[in-house]
Amino acid sequence: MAIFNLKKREIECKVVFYGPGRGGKTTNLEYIFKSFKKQVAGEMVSINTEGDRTLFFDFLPMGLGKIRGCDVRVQLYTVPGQVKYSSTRKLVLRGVDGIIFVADSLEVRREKNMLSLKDLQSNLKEYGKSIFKLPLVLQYNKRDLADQGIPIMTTEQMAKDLNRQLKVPAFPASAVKGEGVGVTLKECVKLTLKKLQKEFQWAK
Amino acid sequence: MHIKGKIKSILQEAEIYRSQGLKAEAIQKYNAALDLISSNQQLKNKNRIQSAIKSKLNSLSGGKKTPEKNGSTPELSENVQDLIQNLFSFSENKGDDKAILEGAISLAKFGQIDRALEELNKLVKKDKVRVIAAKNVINCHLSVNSVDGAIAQYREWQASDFFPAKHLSTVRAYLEQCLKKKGIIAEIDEPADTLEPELFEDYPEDDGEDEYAENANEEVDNADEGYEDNADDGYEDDADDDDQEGEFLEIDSIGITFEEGPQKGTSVEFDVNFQSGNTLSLIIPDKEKALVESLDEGSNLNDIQFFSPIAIFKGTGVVSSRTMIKHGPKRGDICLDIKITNQ
Repeated sequence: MAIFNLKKREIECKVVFYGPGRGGKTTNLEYIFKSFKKQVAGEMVSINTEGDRTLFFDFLPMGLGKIRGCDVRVQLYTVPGQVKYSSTRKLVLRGVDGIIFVADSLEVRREKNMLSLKDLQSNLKEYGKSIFKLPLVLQYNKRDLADQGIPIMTTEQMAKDLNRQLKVPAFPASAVKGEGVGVTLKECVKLTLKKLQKEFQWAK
Repeated sequence: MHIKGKIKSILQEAEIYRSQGLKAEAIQKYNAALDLISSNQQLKNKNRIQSAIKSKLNSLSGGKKTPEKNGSTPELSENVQDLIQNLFSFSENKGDDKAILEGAISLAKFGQIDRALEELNKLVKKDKVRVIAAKNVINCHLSVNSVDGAIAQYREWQASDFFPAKHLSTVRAYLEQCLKKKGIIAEIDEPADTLEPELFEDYPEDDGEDEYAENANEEVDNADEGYEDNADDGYEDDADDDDQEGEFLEIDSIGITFEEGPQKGTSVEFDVNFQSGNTLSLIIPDKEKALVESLDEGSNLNDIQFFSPIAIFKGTGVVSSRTMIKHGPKRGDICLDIKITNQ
């Protein structure tokens, strides 16, 4: 639910990091907060318990400056990944304009990835939105763990599991190292703004 | 691989899962290592390794009690509560009562009950949102299992001078309904002055005392704020609707299984933008209107799933009106009114 102020030529959109619990959504946001200082427009708010599990959501406002004559602001959110926080996850998803699905590359998390993607689809459906129509980017996170001898899935396997029907852009990443984080975000923002341009013709 | 190497590799994997917070996966690996060790008689330091693994397993099974484990929700700082209220109120005019109400409901959803009650109690004093705010106050009390609190609050309103009898009556019906669902039968006094004529003068039946309700039809043309993305728990517009409204649950969204048209056989879910008693209004964006192409005035809907904050249930309905919004930002969108015929 992007907000437009045509008079002031301002646009504000909402991008949500979705995915299974412990997949690295908050780590993505933390890296963005640390590394995109110029664009970060405020403090990152992280509401968690015991310092490591997202209970409600994380929030990071960004200002991308002027794009085609319009001041573009993006609000980044993460959802709580744990299955039991379904209602807060759904609330955070409300009014979303673009989604980054952070999948866990660990072999043992294969099923969790698929369940989370299904959960995303059904939550969007409840808001009358189709996962096929919303700007969506996949991120195959934790690629670095292969170096430590941990069994991870190949990106081909992950694409087969998660992206066979969606056919959306997908990027390998290691959020702890910051690899692949920027490119995933940029692609999602690009797709989101493109979609909003198509719908609302905001750009000059 | 040599047995030692194999155990080492499994333990390394378990350690990584533990560091990642993947408890179940770590436990599984530690147990696999234990099995491997027990089945190997020649292994040196067998007992020492087993005991080290068991201690890891113990720490994984126990651990510090977090609010999450306690089942309670932590009380957040005022700043974060303000942020939640601001980020999760979806109305355009952030300062108006509707936005404050949405924010308060979101606070309650995030478990910030005290703050939600504080905001809702302020709204109860406001005529236009009084009933819906009061219903959510009751929801808040019931969400923390405080039936006494809910009843005491009702009695306080009953004794107050700002709560009109007609509103009180609706809230009472709602409270009774909630208690009934919990299997509780409580003595709740009826408002004594329900039929007092001067109160009806203050709240004339057809004089549009409730701005949201009053504008309902007008907004189909004007597409005003009342039809913004507001399908939230409480966002039924019921401040002064007819008395029967209290008998109906607040519906967030509905799933319609189509029996005709291109969507035949599929179930599509829609947000409820507005509810007045047993009539639900849906705004279907212009670009999605093909979805409801087969739904004309009078169409029967024999398979509807209703999603309310309290329960999900099935029922039937009929399309009571279909209007195209002609003006305003929602121009071209379709407004569908669905009357619930059986739930």
